[in-house]
Amino acid sequence: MVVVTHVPGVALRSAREDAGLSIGYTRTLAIAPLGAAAPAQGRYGPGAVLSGAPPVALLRRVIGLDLALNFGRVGVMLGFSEEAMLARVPAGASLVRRLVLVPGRPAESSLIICTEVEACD
Amino acid sequence: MRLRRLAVAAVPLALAACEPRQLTLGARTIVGINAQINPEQTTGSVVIGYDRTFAAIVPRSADPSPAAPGSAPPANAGRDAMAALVCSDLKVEGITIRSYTDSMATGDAAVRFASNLGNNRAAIGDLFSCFRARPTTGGGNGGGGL
Repeated sequence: MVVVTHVPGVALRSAREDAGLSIGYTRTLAIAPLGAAAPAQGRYGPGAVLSGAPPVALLRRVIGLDLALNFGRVGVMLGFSEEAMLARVPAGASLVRRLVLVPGRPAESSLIICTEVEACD
Repeated sequence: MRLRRLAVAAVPLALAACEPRQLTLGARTIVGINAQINPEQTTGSVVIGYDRTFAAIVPRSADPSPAAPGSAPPANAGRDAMAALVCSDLKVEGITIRSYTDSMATGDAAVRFASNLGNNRAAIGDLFSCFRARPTTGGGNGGGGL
């Protein structure tokens, strides 16, 4: 599942590891496993709330002011920033994946998860 | 600008107050002013202008997988280091990422794949094709390691 959000104005991030606030323009591209709670394909208006599995990859561009307030980072940015979380895998996890992330063409982005290398090859 | 098969580099956590428990790959580009601190590692930085970072944080240890009752021991039994194979390809255009592609295997799946492979690099499929071109020993700009 590929989700792109455009937020002109104030964007509030409430995820524990990524909490913060942006003021200006924020564009986010997130790729997450397609679960049962995944929203239907389409465009959603203001106020849409995404829930379910956390993204396995996320790319966020901010133009303006960004405040980070989470346990990994506390800071402020003024200008342009591009932040990409490309992988976050628990140390003991056993998985195989193939990730393609194309920020400018979200339709070309994809994620394949397998249990064995041979299954993904 | 194109960074082909960008090597996965382990960022030493010299001031790590706590051991990382997950493999993390990330990139960050800033144009402007940025000031931040990391409360976990008690580090901080101030950037005025342009800064770009691509980094991997690799856990130095992992708990072996528990064996299922009545089954063979897991591939990583007796090991305590995280196993990971990564081939990554990052393309950058100006100050933004144009595309990022990676193939990743971790834990038991990576160990089983490497065990089945042995020294036969020719048997490496398309998923980890970046390892085909790498010499048997030495560094280079290949994708990752096990």
